[in-house]
Amino acid sequence: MNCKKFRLQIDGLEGRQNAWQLPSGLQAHLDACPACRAHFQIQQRLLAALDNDPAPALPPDFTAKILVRLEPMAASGRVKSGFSWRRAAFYSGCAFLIATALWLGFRNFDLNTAQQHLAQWLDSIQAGLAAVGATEFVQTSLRLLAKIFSFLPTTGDFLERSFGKETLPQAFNLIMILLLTYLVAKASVLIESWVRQVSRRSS
Amino acid sequence: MNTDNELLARTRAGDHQAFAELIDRYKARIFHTTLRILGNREDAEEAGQDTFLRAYRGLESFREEATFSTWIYRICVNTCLNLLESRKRFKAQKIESTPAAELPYIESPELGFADEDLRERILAVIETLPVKYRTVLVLFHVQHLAYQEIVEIVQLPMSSVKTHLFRARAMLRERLLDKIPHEELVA
Repeated sequence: MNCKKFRLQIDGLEGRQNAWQLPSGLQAHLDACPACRAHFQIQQRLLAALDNDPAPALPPDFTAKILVRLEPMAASGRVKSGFSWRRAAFYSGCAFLIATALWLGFRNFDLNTAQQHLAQWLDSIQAGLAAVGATEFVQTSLRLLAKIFSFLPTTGDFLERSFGKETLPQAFNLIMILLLTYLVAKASVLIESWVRQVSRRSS
Repeated sequence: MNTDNELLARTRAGDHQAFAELIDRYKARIFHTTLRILGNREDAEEAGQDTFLRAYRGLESFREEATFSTWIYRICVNTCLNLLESRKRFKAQKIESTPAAELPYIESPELGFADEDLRERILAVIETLPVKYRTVLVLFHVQHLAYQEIVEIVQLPMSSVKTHLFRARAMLRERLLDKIPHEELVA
């Protein structure tokens, strides 16, 4: 082992003071090379000095000064539990509005027509891919996707037969609104937490 | 003895004394950290106090998936960075280096540097390190935190934390050796 490689490895050791565990290869070089031994000793000495840095004396009345500054905040009741009704109401309201808007937009959505359009679209993509010589795997994946979509209307028919044609749409819409409300609220919380994280990192 | 979470619950319920207990529990570590990152007592005291004030204000957002210790350290580090930024000492160009030549050269009176002298010199050099390296160095060596805790505090990947620590040590060593004769550092 050469000295450069040895020193790189020594500098990369992750131990703190008294936690140096030299691999046997390093130990052999250390015993044989005075210059690297000196390098190692300096490294140990520096880190030992850092590891044993004593806690400095605290400024006088440190806690008391903080408590004095806390008084106005405590008086205005700014500490709240982790759950905030105001925030929950805000997110729920937003989620409900978005969910209702989505429902209004898609209430006349015809699954059969959509499925036909999608199948045509997939067929055209498949034809295009075949023309440019796409792999069999891609084409098979698209055929599988088309099969899944062709199965959906069958599922709808089954549900209509089971629960009745009249009651199903209302129940389905209600479930959809509740589900969308939940998803939008959840997404809002995630987005908010992401924005906070980004702003914290940028600061 | 109350756990941190018990004290937090009492604080949220309006018990002022519980938060005072939390301050007493963490103030030495927080002040030590702020002092080593900022380098002077006035700034360190201000950042230390601000850390606890921000923690109090942010109790609502504290989720107990993290430990209070990690959370308060994270606030502490962010407070220090904000303070450095507000004092115009945290400029992008200066992050990478403060020339070691600006450090005063202290002649060692005799061969063999006393540990206390060495520590003083090290602390002076730490102040010249880029703040991102300084922070990781202080958290690892001075505060003896585990890598995973540092990852959560500085919110960097583990590989970056290890790289920062490696570079911080290398830079520290290089800058010290510029100022202290090599043979005096060898015990």
